[in-house]
Amino acid sequence: MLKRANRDSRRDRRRAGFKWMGAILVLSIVILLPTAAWADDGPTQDEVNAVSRKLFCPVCENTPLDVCPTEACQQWRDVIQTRLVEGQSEQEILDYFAEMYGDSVLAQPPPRQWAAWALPVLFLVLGAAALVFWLRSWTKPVPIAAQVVTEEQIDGNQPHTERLERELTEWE
Amino acid sequence: MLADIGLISLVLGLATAVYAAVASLVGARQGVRGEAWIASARNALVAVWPLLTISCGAMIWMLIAGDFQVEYVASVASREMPVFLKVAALWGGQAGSLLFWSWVAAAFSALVMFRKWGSDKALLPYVIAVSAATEIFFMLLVVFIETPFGKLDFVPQNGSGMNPLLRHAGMVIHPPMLYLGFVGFTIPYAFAMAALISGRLSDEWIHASRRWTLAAWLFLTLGLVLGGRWAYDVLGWGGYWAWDPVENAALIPWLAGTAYLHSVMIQEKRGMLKFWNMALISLTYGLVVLGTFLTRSGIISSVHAFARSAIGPLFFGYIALVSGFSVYWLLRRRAALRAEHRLDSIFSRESAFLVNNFLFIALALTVLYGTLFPLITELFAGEKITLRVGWYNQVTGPQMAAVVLLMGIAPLLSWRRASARRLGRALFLPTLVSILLVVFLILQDVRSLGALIGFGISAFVGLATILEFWQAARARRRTRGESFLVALNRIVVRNRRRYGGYLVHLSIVLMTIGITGSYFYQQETQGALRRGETMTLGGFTILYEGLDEWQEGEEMFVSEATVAVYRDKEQIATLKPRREFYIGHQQPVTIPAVRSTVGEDFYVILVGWEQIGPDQATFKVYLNPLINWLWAGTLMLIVGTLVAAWPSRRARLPVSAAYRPGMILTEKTSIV
Repeated sequence: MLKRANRDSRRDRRRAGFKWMGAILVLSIVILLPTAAWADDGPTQDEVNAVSRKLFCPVCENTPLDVCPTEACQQWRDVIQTRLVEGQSEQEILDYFAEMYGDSVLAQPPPRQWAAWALPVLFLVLGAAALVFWLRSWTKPVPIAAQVVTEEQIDGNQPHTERLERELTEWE
Repeated sequence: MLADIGLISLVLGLATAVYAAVASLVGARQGVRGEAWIASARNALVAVWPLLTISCGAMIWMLIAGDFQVEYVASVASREMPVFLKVAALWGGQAGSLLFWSWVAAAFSALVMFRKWGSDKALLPYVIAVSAATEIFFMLLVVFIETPFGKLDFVPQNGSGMNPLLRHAGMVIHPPMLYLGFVGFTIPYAFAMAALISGRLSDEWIHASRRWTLAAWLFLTLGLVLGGRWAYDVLGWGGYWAWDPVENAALIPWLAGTAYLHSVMIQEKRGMLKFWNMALISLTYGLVVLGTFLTRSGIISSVHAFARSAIGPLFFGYIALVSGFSVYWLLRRRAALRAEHRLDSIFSRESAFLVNNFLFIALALTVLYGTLFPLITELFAGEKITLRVGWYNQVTGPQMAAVVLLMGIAPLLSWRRASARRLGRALFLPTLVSILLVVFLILQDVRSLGALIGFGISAFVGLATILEFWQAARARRRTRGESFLVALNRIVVRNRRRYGGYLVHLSIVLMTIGITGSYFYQQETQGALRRGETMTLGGFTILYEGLDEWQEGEEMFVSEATVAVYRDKEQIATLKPRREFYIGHQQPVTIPAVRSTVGEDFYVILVGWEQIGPDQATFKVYLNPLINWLWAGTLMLIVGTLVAAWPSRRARLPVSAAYRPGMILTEKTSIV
């Protein structure tokens, strides 16, 4: 009784999953494959997971594919399994999913999404520039005797030291 | 009936808050004669709290009693839920969370009203106005857009119950902590705006709001960590942080708030960065509202998508209003916000704080950018691109490492002008030890650069911070002849702010160790086991002993596997990972079983099982090294923050006991 109800509910879920993915031709092929695809000579589950971990399905919110318990994600893992059996490399499989569903499915965005890195780098560069600018403009001109000590403390500031020496000579 | 009481009380609360805002501004305009108005506004703002308490109380009562005619109750509660979850259901859905949020805001504002105002009385009317404005906005949402008190035309037999993922003890405390943190930042913002508007731009607003800021920061931190803990315990993916948009929404204001917490110190010590601090707290508050907006509007999909609705545009308007308001007053007062001093040297504590601010703000902007990336790409490229964990780790990792490293160096720099020789002497031992550690790790075959950096920096910063305690205590022992522990205690008590801060720094070191270990050395394996078969991961072996299935009430099926865990051929634990399937929600929940030690977590997930045929089940097993250091670090963080925020006894001393010239300083009368 319990088992049956459990099975029924699982079937319902699977149906919901089918509805989601129904439009996708490739997957319907996969469904025809035996589900007990843990063949002895095929890739291990760890090998499937190694690829799955780098993917996110577009339906389950931000849950990596290797741990997502939904039926739809199980089907994606089956696709990975099949493709591994066919001898495809990890990169080929990732490329396949990215092409089918967009770059959002990739845990690591591809270089073509360069804009993703452009702004963070810009934040750093502009921030550092602003920091240096502020620090310099806020630093009060110190008496020259003190300046010598200060400059010594800042290692490797060659142009500074040179300018300082030049100014010192002029002052004398 | 109860629903009506709740709604009426809420509307009264809204009206009272509006009155408080208006009355406070009227009072402020009238100057000295306006005192009565301000007193009245203050009372009104306090009164909002009990009114909303009635409102929340009515809702909780209905949740416990199961008044399913109320739509909200029917959507988040069910007869079967235990009482503590029924209470937590108050924040288990959109409308209820907004109501609870308003209550927290009202509580905070009321408590602020009770403080001694004394010399900062001039700030009071504007603090009232800004706090009331925040409350008004949220109450407007609850009254007009997302009311939890709406009724159905019929009375359902039972409610559908809370989202299964949320049925966890962590759920009972995680959201309130986050809300306390979010709402808490309203208070320093209100003080900042009050200072701007009233023109009283000395440091009083910072002193007056310091404890509130620390409280808000502590709650927000706890909210973040508890959220991670909840994910670790319930979501069953062996991790605790997924860079989910909603997690980010809380992390972004935390980053800005942490920057603010540090940069106010420059203003207090040196009278610099006044404009920047105002801007920073406004930014933090703006990010809090933005975070709420991202969380509550469902504009960016996430695992928290149970909280979607159409309140987006209103939020957007409010954010625009807040930004405009802050920017206007900042610009208007910019002349008065000039620094009193200039930097004496680039090589100083001041500039270390600036570098800290730069790193935190860059991190905040980067995470914000990543979170909004789907919207940006949709706008400009027509395709929604979501950035995932790989990107986030890449772009935040280096800055985070830099922040931690700075944490070890900055406290050793003196104000105004640091001496390179002294710094070198203080850093010699930590540098040596961390280099030795890195060499040792390399000899132990640790090859990951990230891990070497993470552990190396942790050792460096940890040791540098501990040396600060040790040296101060030793110096005191030498001059006073106290025992080491007494001396240690005395230095902390004498300067709670500094040493509380150092304790927090140490807790961050512990967390860094935990994060580094679990991030770089997580191992996992997955496999199908028949009864009696075993699987091995990192020295641990599990033996599948069997599977039990049963139905619990009307609500769910439970499938629970029993596995024995062996290490060196000796059984060390029996674990019962399970899968719950919620019938009403048609949702499976994976509950991992974990064996925790200081060294590592052994974490077992039941992935699937054969319905018919051989007794076989699939398990996924994780080994998470050092992860408990993260949680332990959090406990230490709480202690450190409390030490820093604890009122010092000196401030409470009656005037007569204070130091007078000529008085002989004894242990009793002085210092403590």
